[in-house]
Amino acid sequence: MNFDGTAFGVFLGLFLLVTVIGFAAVRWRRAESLAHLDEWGLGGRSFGGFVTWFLLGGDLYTAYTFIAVPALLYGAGAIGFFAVPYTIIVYPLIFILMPRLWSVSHRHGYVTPADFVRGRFDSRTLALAVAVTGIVATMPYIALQLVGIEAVLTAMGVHGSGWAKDLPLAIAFAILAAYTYTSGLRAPALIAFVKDTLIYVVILVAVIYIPTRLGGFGHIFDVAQQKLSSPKAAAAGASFIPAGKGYGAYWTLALGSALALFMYPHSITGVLATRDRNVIRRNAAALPAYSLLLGLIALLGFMALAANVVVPKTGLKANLAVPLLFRQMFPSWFAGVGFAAIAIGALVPAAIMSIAAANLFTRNVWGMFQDANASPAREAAVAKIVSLLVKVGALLIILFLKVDYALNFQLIGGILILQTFPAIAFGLYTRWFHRWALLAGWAVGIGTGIAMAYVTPNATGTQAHFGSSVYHWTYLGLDFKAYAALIAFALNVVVATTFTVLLRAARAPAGNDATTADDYEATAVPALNPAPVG
Amino acid sequence: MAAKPVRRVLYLLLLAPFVGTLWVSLYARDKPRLFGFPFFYWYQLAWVIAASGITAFVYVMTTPRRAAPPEDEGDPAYPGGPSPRHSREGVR
Repeated sequence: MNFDGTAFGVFLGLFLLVTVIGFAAVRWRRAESLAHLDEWGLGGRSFGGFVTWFLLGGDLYTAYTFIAVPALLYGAGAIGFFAVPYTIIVYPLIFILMPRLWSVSHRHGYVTPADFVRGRFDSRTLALAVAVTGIVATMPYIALQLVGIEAVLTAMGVHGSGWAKDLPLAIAFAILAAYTYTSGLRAPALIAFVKDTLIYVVILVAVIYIPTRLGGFGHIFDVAQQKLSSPKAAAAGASFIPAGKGYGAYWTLALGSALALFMYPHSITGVLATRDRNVIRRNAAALPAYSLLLGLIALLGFMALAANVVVPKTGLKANLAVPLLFRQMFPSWFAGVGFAAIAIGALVPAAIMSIAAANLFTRNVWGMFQDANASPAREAAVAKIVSLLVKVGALLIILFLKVDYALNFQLIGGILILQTFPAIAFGLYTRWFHRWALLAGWAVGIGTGIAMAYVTPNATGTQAHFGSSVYHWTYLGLDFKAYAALIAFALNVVVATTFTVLLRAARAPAGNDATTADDYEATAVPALNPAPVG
Repeated sequence: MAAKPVRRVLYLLLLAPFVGTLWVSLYARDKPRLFGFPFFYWYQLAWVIAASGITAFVYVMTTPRRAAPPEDEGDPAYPGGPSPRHSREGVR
């Protein structure tokens, strides 16, 4: 691909702008000291509705989403549109669950979901399981953000050979790591304003302008229908509208992803950074604006089909569909804006994810076993260093493994994180489940989930393992296709329930619950000195 | 914080988006088209707006109006909760 100097210049300019913002964020809503996890890792727990709308929008709708969802529509058709029902039903769930988590965390100074599980179920092991699951599931998610940056660099024609090939990516990530280290959650919160504004502008222009060039939406859908029902596409499992057999995959992907989203550490970090529980409840009504945007972004995949965009057969493959569409359709300077929007869209979630993983490690792995009486300043210092290590790890995943493997890890990540749902989400409502039963359910869910993903080949049969997130279940006289994570979750719940009944009958010690019923309804209190947590 | 019991029933409205979007056979078809969008696609996009409206409605109906917003007033708003002292207990 030719190097596009104009696009790259615009891209670089916007990238430098957010770099400055990232470092300057340390002065924003200035705290007395950033040497406390509540400040570095949760932005002072002070964000109101407006900031939260941008922050969570920037956090949840990642660059990878903007690249992968249209790529899925481009390659497989209707199934990729599951992202829309997924991001519809996630908000009623947030509306119900997250204010409770906010309240109990606010009362007890919890920084992570594992803190909550520890307090609720009085089990270090269960808390450790939740923390490690969160960290392991987050790492490949960060790596995938790099895939987003890599895709736009490729589309701009930035390439080199040998180690120079990965240099731009490494530089971008080093800068990100530096301002996350100094500014903590304030950096992505401030950059999210730029990211979200750019994304809205670029996508609105794209969905108005590109169809006029391609003969209107009617024509775009017609071409997509024609291409997706070709014998070759149909053999690879593509469809324009799901048929009866595809329903199971469609709704289970939507439901499973929705249940999983707010178990991810970075989502919970965004929630706990708010000032008041009603900020979350209001945002559950306001954030769907991004879902509408995501629906339109998804359709860029069909526009790429209609524009005859051809993607390479190896490497990034369909992930290049949208960047190549931008390059083909837009004047260079605006393509540069679009590429910057995607790349900055990678930085915000990558920063929040690394902060969330660092919080988890500090509070629930290192803190619980190594240094139980760490001062807040020491906790913040550890977390800052861990946030760097997490990013290095993500970079190594991308540099030394093929993109395909990163996708596989992400697939496993979704399976893993959903297995923490019973301990966290059920735990917000009931303490009926026994801590050891929850641990058993978690283990069974993870074991069966990974096993199901392992034995699933891809649609064309070129990949024998981890080929798809949809598992074909044929046991117990049942025959259906469904999202492996959701099947594993169902097994998890069955095991947790059965074991709870048994353990309660055996009067196994249930531990002490540190929380009370009204902790879950608590509203904001006037500023106190940071609670001596941990 | 707890709303009146009658109002709590309104939370059931939040189930509507689940039924509307997870029942795929309800909408997995091409016609009728709207602005060139097949039914399958515009139906789901319409649910984004509907679900947001439902959530907003439930929010308004179940959120008690506060005489004084806590963030503006110095006084603690502690409806029936324990004292702030309690809130400062650590995890351990």
